[in-house]
Amino acid sequence: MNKAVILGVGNVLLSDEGVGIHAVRTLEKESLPEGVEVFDGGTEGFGLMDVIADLDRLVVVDCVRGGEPPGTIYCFEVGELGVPIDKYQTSVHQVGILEILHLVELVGKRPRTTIIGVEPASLEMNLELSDVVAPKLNAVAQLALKKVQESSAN
Amino acid sequence: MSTKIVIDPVTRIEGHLKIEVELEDGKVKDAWSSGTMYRGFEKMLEGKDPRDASYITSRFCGVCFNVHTITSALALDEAFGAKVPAGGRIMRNLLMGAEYLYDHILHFYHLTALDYLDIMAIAKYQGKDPGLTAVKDKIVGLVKAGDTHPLTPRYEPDEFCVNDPETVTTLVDHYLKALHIQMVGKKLAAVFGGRAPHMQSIVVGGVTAYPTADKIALFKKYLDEVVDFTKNVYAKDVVAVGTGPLFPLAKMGLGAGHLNYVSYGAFNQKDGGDPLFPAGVILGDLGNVMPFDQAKITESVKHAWYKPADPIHPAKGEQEVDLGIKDAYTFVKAPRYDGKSLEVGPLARMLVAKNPALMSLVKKGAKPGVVARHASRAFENLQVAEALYKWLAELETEMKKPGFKIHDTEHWDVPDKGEGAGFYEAPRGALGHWISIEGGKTKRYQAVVPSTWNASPRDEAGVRGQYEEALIGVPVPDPENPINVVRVIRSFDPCLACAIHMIDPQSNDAKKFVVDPTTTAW
Repeated sequence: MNKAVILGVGNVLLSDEGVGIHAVRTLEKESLPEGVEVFDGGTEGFGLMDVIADLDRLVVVDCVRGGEPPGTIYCFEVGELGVPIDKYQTSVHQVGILEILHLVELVGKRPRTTIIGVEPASLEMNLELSDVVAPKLNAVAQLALKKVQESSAN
Repeated sequence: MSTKIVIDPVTRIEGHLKIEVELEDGKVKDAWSSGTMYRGFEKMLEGKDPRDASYITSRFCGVCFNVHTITSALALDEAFGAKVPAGGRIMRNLLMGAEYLYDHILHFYHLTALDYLDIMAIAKYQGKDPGLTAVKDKIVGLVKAGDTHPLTPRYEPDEFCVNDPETVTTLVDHYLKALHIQMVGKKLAAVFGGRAPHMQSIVVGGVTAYPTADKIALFKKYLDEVVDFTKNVYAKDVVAVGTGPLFPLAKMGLGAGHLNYVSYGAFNQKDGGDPLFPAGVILGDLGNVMPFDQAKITESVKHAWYKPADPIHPAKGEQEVDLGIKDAYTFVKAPRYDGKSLEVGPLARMLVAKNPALMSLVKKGAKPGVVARHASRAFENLQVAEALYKWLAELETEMKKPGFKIHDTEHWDVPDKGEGAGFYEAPRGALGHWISIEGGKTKRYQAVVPSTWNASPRDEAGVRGQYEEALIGVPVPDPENPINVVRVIRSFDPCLACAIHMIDPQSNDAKKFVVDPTTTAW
């Protein structure tokens, strides 16, 4: 039985920065396929290693600054951007999710990892998503659910 | 002739910190510490149910979430008049003790050890140990593949770096093992925390997770593994390196700073008292530990980007951003105790506690500074490890008593009015929360976090913060290689509480991966 996780990361206090957490909360209300779990990783860094280390398949939902209009949804495999993993800037947070994947590889296997990102409209202090990102939430959650059931082969 | 260098950001820390130093004759002549992110999450709590504080403050930070949770609960305990029963007190200790164990191990191996190792010495390892040979092969393989991150240090090794191939290879082996211990540590924290990260168990009045025999057995299983590593690997490594190759740094007291320290105290072992880490204040004379009085805390905004105001107690402080302030260089305020600039953290705690292991290191000639800070973390983890077993035994005894409780349910309802303050010791230092409640809602909330003390700017009198002072006189023979500067800063385990996770690929490729929810392509 494959183990697959949809991991939302981000800070739920800062509007769209918390889109990953909001996506996880949306999915928590649904009945998930067998072997699929959702996880609210919050603002954790190193501590997510134990969540990732024994997985076959991982989908990360996060806020991504890709330069497209706010509300744009991105979907890519880790490494597909053509930038070495340590060159990904995870903003001020020095140990971001991509660095954690790298560390997981040092002690074991790294699951096939897909990133679903949403371009933020607001990073202001607010427990709610912005009016631009909120209408996209369901699409983001459903995309995560579809992706997580794809093959775990890298 | 002086040169200025800027390190922005200081990496392998939590949050965004900029350090600027002025060099003269190969030494730091002056220093400025800047927190370049505004934090003012407290505003979000205003007008909300005061009990929300335990959950919302947990999201302030990417490291100290659980410590914010307990400190907010302590502030609420006072404001609500709640009396935490013995079961709740012990459970809180178990949760926070678990946090210390993995937090310090992570700091030593993953955030700072590489400042002291000539990592490339691994390639020269010629020993026969199969485990170490495997580590050598792994690292050499990564180097050949051009992929040494995150092991590559940002700065070149200097004369203080450990370069004996066997020692370096052993420490890197422990670095990898410590990654595994991190994972066990998180499972340990989740047993009674309900979840990790952002544990949900600690609330006003006690905790919500009821201890069962099964859970205690699971907690012990994980604890045994983490404690074994703490005693037999982590503490031994710190002592071996600190009294061996790094002893010259210990003797020179690299990164000492103002010799002023405060500990708020943590881990009450009796109802309302007998903390494992006592509270106390040291002002210059290490032999003289004075009682801690929270009324003596003030915060100065003289050199920070806030509307000008006189130094004031944090419970009354405001934070209106003003980027036009002349002489301001940071969003971090300057907390002072009795007007003095202080250090918080493990060294402060162990000096206040007169920890025998630290005192014996001092007798051998070690001075307060980077090495003493790393040693203090190891020594206090040994204390916590021992105490955790004691607390587990106490919990099992308490559970057998009739009327065993983990929560003061009588005081769960929000009072119409109330004020409270919570004081605790985060692994990286003293943490204080203040709340005032009016009309059953949070009217004001303030948190003074550990790194606000340590990373503080100058005050009205021009007295430097602790990072700044600790950098004065630090040798930087090559301005291109300020390795001693980052050693000093990372020895404090900075945590500037901002916790943004956003991925910024810094490439134009993201366009290729746009998906459109209005199509059925996916």
